[in-house]
Amino acid sequence: MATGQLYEVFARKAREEPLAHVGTVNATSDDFARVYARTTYDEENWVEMVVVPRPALIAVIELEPLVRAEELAS
Amino acid sequence: MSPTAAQIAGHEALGDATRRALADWLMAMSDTKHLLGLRYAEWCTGAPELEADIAASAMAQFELGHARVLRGVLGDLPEDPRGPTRDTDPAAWCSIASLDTPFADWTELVAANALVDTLLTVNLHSAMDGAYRPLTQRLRKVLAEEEYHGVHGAAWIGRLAGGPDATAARLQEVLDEVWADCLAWFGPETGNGLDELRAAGVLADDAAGLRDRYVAAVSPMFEGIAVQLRAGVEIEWSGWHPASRRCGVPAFGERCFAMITGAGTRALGVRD
Repeated sequence: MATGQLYEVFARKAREEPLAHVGTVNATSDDFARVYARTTYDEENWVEMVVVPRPALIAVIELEPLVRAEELAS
Repeated sequence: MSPTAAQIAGHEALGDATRRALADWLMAMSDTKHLLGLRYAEWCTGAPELEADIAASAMAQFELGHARVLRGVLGDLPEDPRGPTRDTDPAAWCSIASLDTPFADWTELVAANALVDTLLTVNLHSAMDGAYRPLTQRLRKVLAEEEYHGVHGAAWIGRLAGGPDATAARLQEVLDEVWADCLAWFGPETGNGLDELRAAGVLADDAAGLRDRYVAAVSPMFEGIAVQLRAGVEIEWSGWHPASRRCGVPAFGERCFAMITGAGTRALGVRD
Protein backbone atom coordinates (compact mmCIF):
# COMPACT_ATOMS: atom_id res chain seq x y z
CA MET A 1 0.00 0.00 0.00
CA ALA A 2 1.02 3.63 -0.36
CA THR A 3 3.23 4.95 2.37
CA GLY A 4 1.92 7.95 4.20
CA GLN A 5 3.42 10.62 6.36
CA LEU A 6 3.53 11.14 10.09
CA TYR A 7 0.91 13.29 11.75
CA GLU A 8 1.34 14.54 15.31
CA VAL A 9 -1.77 14.13 17.46
CA PHE A 10 -2.75 16.64 20.14
CA ALA A 11 -5.74 16.45 22.46
CA ARG A 12 -7.21 17.78 25.68
CA LYS A 13 -9.62 16.28 28.19
CA ALA A 14 -11.10 19.55 29.45
CA ARG A 15 -11.64 22.99 27.97
CA GLU A 16 -9.37 24.61 30.56
CA GLU A 17 -6.48 22.25 29.84
CA PRO A 18 -3.90 22.96 27.14
CA LEU A 19 -3.68 20.77 24.05
CA ALA A 20 -1.08 18.13 24.79
CA HIS A 21 0.83 15.87 22.48
CA VAL A 22 -0.55 12.32 22.76
CA GLY A 23 1.20 10.53 19.91
CA THR A 24 1.59 10.09 16.17
CA VAL A 25 -0.16 8.28 13.34
CA ASN A 26 1.04 7.38 9.88
CA ALA A 27 -1.56 8.24 7.23
CA THR A 28 -1.88 8.83 3.50
CA SER A 29 -4.35 11.72 3.79
CA ASP A 30 -5.80 14.13 6.31
CA ASP A 31 -9.01 12.07 6.43
CA PHE A 32 -7.10 8.93 7.30
CA ALA A 33 -5.11 10.88 9.89
CA ARG A 34 -8.34 12.06 11.55
CA VAL A 35 -9.79 8.56 11.71
CA TYR A 36 -6.59 6.90 12.83
CA ALA A 37 -5.96 9.49 15.52
CA ARG A 38 -9.49 9.00 16.82
CA THR A 39 -9.26 5.22 16.89
CA THR A 40 -5.67 4.94 18.11
CA TYR A 41 -5.94 7.41 20.98
CA ASP A 42 -9.47 6.67 22.21
CA GLU A 43 -8.55 5.92 25.81
CA GLU A 44 -9.88 9.23 27.09
CA ASN A 45 -13.05 11.26 26.67
CA TRP A 46 -11.29 14.03 24.78
CA VAL A 47 -13.12 17.32 24.26
CA GLU A 48 -10.74 18.30 21.44
CA MET A 49 -8.28 16.46 19.23
CA VAL A 50 -6.27 17.80 16.30
CA VAL A 51 -3.69 16.35 13.95
CA VAL A 52 -0.79 18.22 12.38
CA PRO A 53 1.34 16.90 9.51
CA ARG A 54 4.87 16.64 10.84
CA PRO A 55 6.33 18.72 7.95
CA ALA A 56 4.11 21.60 9.12
CA LEU A 57 5.98 21.78 12.42
CA ILE A 58 8.44 24.67 12.56
CA ALA A 59 11.58 23.78 14.43
CA VAL A 60 12.70 26.17 17.17
CA ILE A 61 15.41 23.98 18.61
CA GLU A 62 16.61 21.31 16.21
CA LEU A 63 16.87 17.82 17.66
CA GLU A 64 20.46 16.62 17.57
CA PRO A 65 20.74 13.34 15.62
CA LEU A 66 21.89 10.38 17.70
CA VAL A 67 24.46 9.47 15.07
CA ARG A 68 25.86 11.84 12.45
CA ALA A 69 25.91 10.79 8.78
CA GLU A 70 29.67 11.13 8.59
CA GLU A 71 30.06 8.79 11.58
CA LEU A 72 27.95 6.19 9.81
CA ALA A 73 30.05 6.54 6.66
CA SER A 74 33.35 6.03 8.49
CA MET B 1 -39.87 16.41 15.57
CA SER B 2 -43.09 17.84 16.94
CA PRO B 3 -43.39 18.58 20.68
CA THR B 4 -46.08 15.94 21.11
CA ALA B 5 -44.14 13.37 19.16
CA ALA B 6 -41.26 13.81 21.60
CA GLN B 7 -43.25 12.24 24.37
CA ILE B 8 -43.37 8.48 23.84
CA ALA B 9 -42.03 7.61 27.27
CA GLY B 10 -42.06 3.84 26.85
CA HIS B 11 -43.52 0.82 25.11
CA GLU B 12 -46.75 1.11 27.10
CA ALA B 13 -47.73 4.03 24.84
CA LEU B 14 -47.38 1.95 21.66
CA GLY B 15 -49.99 -0.27 20.05
CA ASP B 16 -49.41 -4.00 19.65
CA ALA B 17 -48.52 -3.82 15.96
CA THR B 18 -46.08 -0.98 16.52
CA ARG B 19 -44.39 -2.82 19.39
CA ARG B 20 -43.92 -5.85 17.17
CA ALA B 21 -42.50 -3.68 14.38
CA LEU B 22 -40.16 -2.04 16.91
CA ALA B 23 -39.04 -5.41 18.24
CA ASP B 24 -38.28 -6.60 14.70
CA TRP B 25 -36.35 -3.42 13.88
CA LEU B 26 -34.35 -3.61 17.11
CA MET B 27 -33.48 -7.23 16.50
CA ALA B 28 -32.34 -6.61 12.92
CA MET B 29 -30.34 -3.58 14.06
CA SER B 30 -28.68 -5.29 17.04
CA ASP B 31 -27.97 -8.58 15.25
CA THR B 32 -26.43 -6.71 12.32
CA LYS B 33 -24.30 -4.61 14.67
CA HIS B 34 -23.23 -7.77 16.50
CA LEU B 35 -22.14 -9.46 13.27
CA LEU B 36 -20.51 -6.26 11.99
CA GLY B 37 -18.49 -6.05 15.20
CA LEU B 38 -17.42 -9.67 14.85
CA ARG B 39 -16.42 -9.21 11.20
CA TYR B 40 -14.42 -6.05 11.99
CA ALA B 41 -12.70 -7.87 14.85
CA GLU B 42 -11.65 -10.70 12.54
CA TRP B 43 -9.55 -8.15 10.65
CA CYS B 44 -7.94 -6.38 13.58
CA THR B 45 -4.53 -7.81 12.68
CA GLY B 46 -5.06 -8.24 8.95
CA ALA B 47 -5.57 -4.70 7.68
CA PRO B 48 -3.18 -3.10 5.16
CA GLU B 49 -1.50 -0.93 7.82
CA LEU B 50 -1.14 -0.83 11.60
CA GLU B 51 -3.45 2.16 12.04
CA ALA B 52 -6.17 0.37 10.06
CA ASP B 53 -5.75 -2.68 12.33
CA ILE B 54 -6.42 -0.42 15.29
CA ALA B 55 -9.35 1.23 13.54
CA ALA B 56 -10.92 -2.17 12.81
CA SER B 57 -10.47 -3.13 16.44
CA ALA B 58 -11.95 0.14 17.71
CA MET B 59 -14.92 -0.01 15.36
CA ALA B 60 -15.52 -3.63 16.40
CA GLN B 61 -15.70 -2.67 20.06
CA PHE B 62 -18.17 0.11 19.35
CA GLU B 63 -20.43 -2.06 17.17
CA LEU B 64 -20.56 -4.76 19.83
CA GLY B 65 -21.31 -2.15 22.47
CA HIS B 66 -24.07 -0.64 20.35
CA ALA B 67 -25.62 -4.09 19.82
CA ARG B 68 -25.79 -4.43 23.59
CA VAL B 69 -27.40 -0.99 23.96
CA LEU B 70 -30.10 -1.84 21.41
CA ARG B 71 -30.70 -5.23 22.99
CA GLY B 72 -31.31 -3.43 26.25
CA VAL B 73 -34.15 -1.54 24.61
CA LEU B 74 -35.37 -4.75 23.00
CA GLY B 75 -35.30 -6.60 26.31
CA ASP B 76 -37.67 -4.07 27.85
CA LEU B 77 -40.39 -4.92 25.32
CA PRO B 78 -43.04 -7.46 26.26
CA GLU B 79 -42.72 -8.94 22.77
CA ASP B 80 -38.98 -9.64 22.84
CA PRO B 81 -38.83 -12.00 19.85
CA ARG B 82 -35.59 -13.68 20.89
CA GLY B 83 -36.35 -17.27 21.73
CA PRO B 84 -34.33 -20.36 22.72
CA THR B 85 -33.91 -21.35 19.08
CA ARG B 86 -31.38 -18.53 18.67
CA ASP B 87 -28.83 -20.83 20.33
CA THR B 88 -29.43 -23.66 17.89
CA ASP B 89 -30.82 -22.20 14.68
CA PRO B 90 -29.01 -19.53 12.64
CA ALA B 91 -32.33 -18.80 10.93
CA ALA B 92 -33.46 -17.18 14.19
CA TRP B 93 -30.85 -14.43 13.68
CA CYS B 94 -31.65 -11.25 11.79
CA SER B 95 -28.36 -9.85 10.51
CA ILE B 96 -27.86 -8.50 7.02
CA ALA B 97 -26.79 -11.00 4.35
CA SER B 98 -23.46 -9.28 3.64
CA LEU B 99 -22.20 -10.39 7.06
CA ASP B 100 -23.11 -14.08 6.86
CA THR B 101 -19.53 -15.07 6.09
CA PRO B 102 -16.18 -13.55 7.11
CA PHE B 103 -14.78 -10.81 4.89
CA ALA B 104 -12.76 -12.61 2.23
CA ASP B 105 -10.52 -9.59 1.67
CA TRP B 106 -10.06 -5.97 2.69
CA THR B 107 -12.45 -4.71 0.00
CA GLU B 108 -15.29 -6.62 1.69
CA LEU B 109 -14.55 -4.92 5.00
CA VAL B 110 -14.40 -1.53 3.32
CA ALA B 111 -17.69 -2.08 1.48
CA ALA B 112 -19.44 -3.14 4.69
CA ASN B 113 -17.87 -0.25 6.56
CA ALA B 114 -19.06 2.25 3.97
CA LEU B 115 -22.49 0.80 3.21
CA VAL B 116 -23.71 -1.42 6.08
CA ASP B 117 -22.27 0.66 8.91
CA THR B 118 -23.74 3.81 7.36
CA LEU B 119 -27.08 2.06 6.84
CA LEU B 120 -27.29 1.34 10.56
CA THR B 121 -26.20 4.85 11.47
CA VAL B 122 -28.86 6.40 9.22
CA ASN B 123 -31.45 4.23 10.96
CA LEU B 124 -30.20 5.41 14.35
CA HIS B 125 -30.32 9.05 13.27
CA SER B 126 -33.95 8.53 12.27
CA ALA B 127 -34.67 7.06 15.70
CA MET B 128 -32.80 9.94 17.34
CA ASP B 129 -35.01 12.37 15.41
CA GLY B 130 -38.05 10.32 16.41
CA ALA B 131 -40.01 10.23 19.61
CA TYR B 132 -39.33 7.00 21.44
CA ARG B 133 -37.52 8.10 24.57
CA PRO B 134 -35.94 4.73 25.50
CA LEU B 135 -34.05 5.11 22.22
CA THR B 136 -33.44 8.83 22.05
CA GLN B 137 -31.95 8.93 25.54
CA ARG B 138 -29.43 6.23 24.63
CA LEU B 139 -28.47 7.18 21.09
CA ARG B 140 -26.58 10.46 21.50
CA LYS B 141 -23.41 8.71 22.67
CA VAL B 142 -23.86 5.89 20.16
CA LEU B 143 -24.10 8.34 17.27
CA ALA B 144 -21.07 10.28 18.52
CA GLU B 145 -19.09 7.05 18.48
CA GLU B 146 -20.26 6.34 14.94
CA GLU B 147 -19.06 9.67 13.55
CA TYR B 148 -15.69 8.50 12.29
CA HIS B 149 -16.83 5.10 10.94
CA GLY B 150 -18.20 6.73 7.82
CA VAL B 151 -15.05 8.80 7.39
CA HIS B 152 -13.00 5.61 7.56
CA GLY B 153 -15.21 3.90 4.99
CA ALA B 154 -15.18 6.87 2.63
CA ALA B 155 -11.41 7.30 2.87
CA TRP B 156 -10.80 3.64 2.05
CA ILE B 157 -13.35 3.62 -0.79
CA GLY B 158 -11.47 6.50 -2.41
CA ARG B 159 -8.08 4.93 -1.81
CA LEU B 160 -9.00 1.51 -3.21
CA ALA B 161 -10.86 3.06 -6.16
CA GLY B 162 -7.69 4.97 -7.02
CA GLY B 163 -5.55 1.85 -6.79
CA PRO B 164 -4.69 -0.68 -9.51
CA ASP B 165 -7.45 -1.50 -12.01
CA ALA B 166 -7.90 -4.98 -10.56
CA THR B 167 -8.39 -3.53 -7.09
CA ALA B 168 -11.02 -1.05 -8.28
CA ALA B 169 -12.76 -3.84 -10.21
CA ARG B 170 -12.82 -6.08 -7.15
CA LEU B 171 -14.19 -3.23 -5.04
CA GLN B 172 -16.93 -2.59 -7.60
CA GLU B 173 -17.88 -6.27 -7.58
CA VAL B 174 -18.14 -6.32 -3.78
CA LEU B 175 -20.00 -3.00 -3.64
CA ASP B 176 -22.62 -4.32 -6.07
CA GLU B 177 -23.39 -7.24 -3.75
CA VAL B 178 -23.42 -5.26 -0.52
CA TRP B 179 -25.43 -2.43 -2.06
CA ALA B 180 -28.23 -4.85 -3.03
CA ASP B 181 -28.30 -6.25 0.51
CA CYS B 182 -28.49 -2.73 1.95
CA LEU B 183 -31.32 -1.65 -0.35
CA ALA B 184 -33.25 -4.79 0.62
CA TRP B 185 -33.22 -3.48 4.22
CA PHE B 186 -35.93 -0.94 3.36
CA GLY B 187 -38.37 -3.65 2.30
CA PRO B 188 -41.27 -3.70 -0.14
CA GLU B 189 -43.77 -0.87 -0.52
CA THR B 190 -46.15 -2.45 1.98
CA GLY B 191 -45.42 -4.47 5.08
CA ASN B 192 -41.91 -3.08 5.48
CA GLY B 193 -42.30 -2.27 9.19
CA LEU B 194 -40.61 1.11 8.82
CA ASP B 195 -43.80 2.88 7.72
CA GLU B 196 -45.48 1.59 10.90
CA LEU B 197 -42.66 2.97 13.06
CA ARG B 198 -42.81 6.33 11.27
CA ALA B 199 -46.60 6.53 11.73
CA ALA B 200 -46.17 5.94 15.46
CA GLY B 201 -43.38 8.52 15.72
CA VAL B 202 -40.66 6.03 16.71
CA LEU B 203 -38.72 6.83 13.55
CA ALA B 204 -38.67 10.22 11.85
CA ASP B 205 -38.78 8.64 8.39
CA ASP B 206 -40.90 6.08 6.58
CA ALA B 207 -39.25 3.46 4.39
CA ALA B 208 -39.02 5.69 1.31
CA GLY B 209 -37.77 8.65 3.33
CA LEU B 210 -35.22 6.55 5.15
CA ARG B 211 -33.95 5.13 1.89
CA ASP B 212 -33.58 8.67 0.49
CA ARG B 213 -31.70 9.65 3.63
CA TYR B 214 -29.42 6.65 3.24
CA VAL B 215 -28.70 7.32 -0.43
CA ALA B 216 -27.90 10.94 0.44
CA ALA B 217 -25.49 9.74 3.15
CA VAL B 218 -23.51 7.32 1.01
CA SER B 219 -23.56 9.05 -2.39
CA PRO B 220 -20.83 11.63 -1.57
CA MET B 221 -18.37 8.78 -1.01
CA PHE B 222 -18.57 7.93 -4.72
CA GLU B 223 -18.27 11.36 -6.28
CA GLY B 224 -15.45 11.61 -8.81
CA ILE B 225 -14.06 8.13 -8.30
CA ALA B 226 -13.82 5.00 -10.43
CA VAL B 227 -16.38 2.91 -8.53
CA GLN B 228 -20.07 3.68 -8.33
CA LEU B 229 -23.26 2.51 -6.67
CA ARG B 230 -25.41 0.71 -9.21
CA ALA B 231 -28.74 2.23 -10.17
CA GLY B 232 -31.83 0.14 -10.89
CA VAL B 233 -31.14 -2.70 -8.44
CA GLU B 234 -33.96 -5.25 -8.68
CA ILE B 235 -34.91 -7.09 -5.49
CA GLU B 236 -37.08 -10.20 -5.40
CA TRP B 237 -39.31 -9.33 -2.49
CA SER B 238 -41.09 -12.69 -2.34
CA GLY B 239 -38.27 -14.06 -0.18
CA TRP B 240 -38.02 -11.01 2.06
CA HIS B 241 -38.63 -11.33 5.81
CA PRO B 242 -39.87 -8.31 7.80
CA ALA B 243 -38.19 -9.53 10.99
CA SER B 244 -34.71 -9.83 9.51
CA ARG B 245 -35.17 -7.16 6.81
CA ARG B 246 -33.45 -9.44 4.28
CA CYS B 247 -34.06 -12.19 1.78
CA GLY B 248 -33.25 -15.70 2.96
CA VAL B 249 -31.84 -16.64 6.35
CA PRO B 250 -28.32 -16.33 7.77
CA ALA B 251 -25.87 -19.04 6.74
CA PHE B 252 -23.19 -18.71 9.42
CA GLY B 253 -20.25 -21.05 9.64
CA GLU B 254 -20.19 -23.37 12.65
CA ARG B 255 -17.42 -21.45 14.40
CA CYS B 256 -19.11 -18.11 13.82
CA PHE B 257 -22.38 -19.42 15.23
CA ALA B 258 -20.60 -20.78 18.31
CA MET B 259 -18.99 -17.36 18.79
CA ILE B 260 -22.15 -15.28 18.53
CA THR B 261 -24.25 -17.62 20.67
CA GLY B 262 -21.56 -18.25 23.26
CA ALA B 263 -21.85 -22.01 22.75
CA GLY B 264 -18.11 -22.48 22.94
CA THR B 265 -17.74 -20.91 26.37
CA ARG B 266 -20.98 -22.43 27.64
CA ALA B 267 -19.50 -25.86 27.01
CA LEU B 268 -16.65 -24.92 29.38
CA GLY B 269 -19.14 -24.32 32.16
CA VAL B 270 -18.07 -20.71 32.68
CA ARG B 271 -21.28 -19.00 31.54
CA ASP B 272 -25.03 -19.58 31.65
